Amino acid sequence: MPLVLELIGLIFYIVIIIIVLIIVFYRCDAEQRKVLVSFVFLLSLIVLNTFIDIPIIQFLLFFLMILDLLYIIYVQILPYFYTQRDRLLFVEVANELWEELKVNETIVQEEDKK
Amino acid sequence: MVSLIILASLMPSFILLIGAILILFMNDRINRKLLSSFIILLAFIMNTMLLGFYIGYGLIEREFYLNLTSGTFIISEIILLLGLIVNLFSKEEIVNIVNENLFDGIILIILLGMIGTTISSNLLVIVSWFILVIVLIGIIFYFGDYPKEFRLLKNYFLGVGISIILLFSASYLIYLEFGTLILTEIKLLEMSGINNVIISLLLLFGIGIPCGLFPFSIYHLKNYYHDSSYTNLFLFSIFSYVNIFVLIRVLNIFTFNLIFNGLFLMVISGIGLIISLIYVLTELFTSLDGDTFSIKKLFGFSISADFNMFLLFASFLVFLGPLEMTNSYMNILIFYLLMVISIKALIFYTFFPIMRETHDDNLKLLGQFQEKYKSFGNILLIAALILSLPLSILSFIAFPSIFSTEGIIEMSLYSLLSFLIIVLYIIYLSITLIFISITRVQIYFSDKPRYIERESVKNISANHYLPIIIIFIIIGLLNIMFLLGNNIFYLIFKSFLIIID
Repeated sequence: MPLVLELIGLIFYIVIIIIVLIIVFYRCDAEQRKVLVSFVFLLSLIVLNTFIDIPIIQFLLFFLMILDLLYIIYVQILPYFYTQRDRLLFVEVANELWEELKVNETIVQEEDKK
Repeated sequence: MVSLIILASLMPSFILLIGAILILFMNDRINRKLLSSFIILLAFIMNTMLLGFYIGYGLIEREFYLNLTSGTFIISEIILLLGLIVNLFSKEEIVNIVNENLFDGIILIILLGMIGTTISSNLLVIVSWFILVIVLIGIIFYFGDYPKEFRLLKNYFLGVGISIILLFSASYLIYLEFGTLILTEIKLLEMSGINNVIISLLLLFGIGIPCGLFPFSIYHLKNYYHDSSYTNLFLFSIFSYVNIFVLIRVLNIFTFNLIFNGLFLMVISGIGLIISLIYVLTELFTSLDGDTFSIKKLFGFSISADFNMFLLFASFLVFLGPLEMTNSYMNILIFYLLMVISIKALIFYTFFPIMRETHDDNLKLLGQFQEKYKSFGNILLIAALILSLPLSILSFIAFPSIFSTEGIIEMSLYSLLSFLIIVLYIIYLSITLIFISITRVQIYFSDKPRYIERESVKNISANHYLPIIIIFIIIGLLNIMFLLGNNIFYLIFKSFLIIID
């Protein structure tokens, strides 16, 4: 009896996911679609893992989940941090400013001497 | 009726899932935040009803695919209630950032993941939810007013990677040994001592490292505490506390039936506790430039200290022989953990006016708060007093009564260790008191702000006092339950923590 109820829960989940996927494909742009679909896929893997009691398949799903997670990090985090190039640019600008400051300092020192 | 309740048990999780997806499509900020609060509140109400049923119908317990026990629902209550406070913080703090709706959705998914770690009974599923939550907590660190460099959380993600490998190895070893991954089906008697030690250590480090267990300790969390927003920090603290329950649950099967495991856990968590206390102390008296004292770092270190302290207390379960003693010790431990969670939430909530005024992380900026937000200052003091006086008096009465049983006093090693742990505990309490008194003095009694004069002060409305009142009611209820109920916390959490009589 409880197993049937859990299956109902699983079916309920699948229905929600199908509705969500339909909305995603109709309403989102390509960028959002990538993130949302990978999230939905990830959650589905975990939920499926809950209900499948065959360890080998569970391990397989687990690996898929890790791969999906890596993909989410790749898509989602990358836009949010400074790249190496940005930092180098920043250092370059700082160096230029520093040089200017030095030049100004020498001018002031020369004026003081005079 | 019972079957319906079992089906309904998944409803809070479904509500959170549907809510997270709905929020991703909403672009209007105010409505989205409102919807987010509404969803968490709905899940909370649903969960409360379920908890009522589970306790009212004589503690229905079932563990097959799902771990549906009253303990699970109490932990879900904590997660959802604190989730409401997280939402309040994010409403004020996370404003006008890129992909804000994704941030809101991820917060709900993190709450769902935390509930998932408690509601699953399959080890691999627990591990999956756990990994999802730690990675998402790392990801939302990068959402904010300004872009952050990836290298800030390099060590954090290194810790996460190590944790994933350890947890996977543990699951695989358990599968090889027993052919099943469902926690209650694991037959302890068939396991050899060496395997028990290896699996225990893998699980311990796998789940403990992301929250500040010894070898990594605070090393990988320093940047997280320093640069994250208040919202992230509070979310991480909820995760740490929930993790203590999960860890004790998982370790209860393997660790606490071998004395070696208990001793190892004791040493590791003791060192972790000492290191985090040293960090708290040094952070209290050092500043970046003479004026900047970080609140977030202090709070974060204190959470790592809590995590280690509870593991230290849990390691005693190895030594407690007679069943009644284990039961009452478990009762005290759970009560203490629930109380500390509520009080830490109260302390964190007193930072709310500071966060609202300025998103900066500095105690000294907040000189004029004495006039504006005196009540918040007083609440901070009361929280400190509860943490250091009644709670410690209760535990001083309760702990020695367990430790002074005849069978245990004969073990000299045990007596020495318990003495050391009580000393550590007293040091912990005194440092907590110093931490809170200095925080209070810095925030509420220092002079005018040193270098920023703020013109507009946002007023605190009556609604903002609601969480404080609720937390006080919870603290009162917990105390009454502990004093009047006979081992009530033990009875509620018995099947959650898989205690076999």
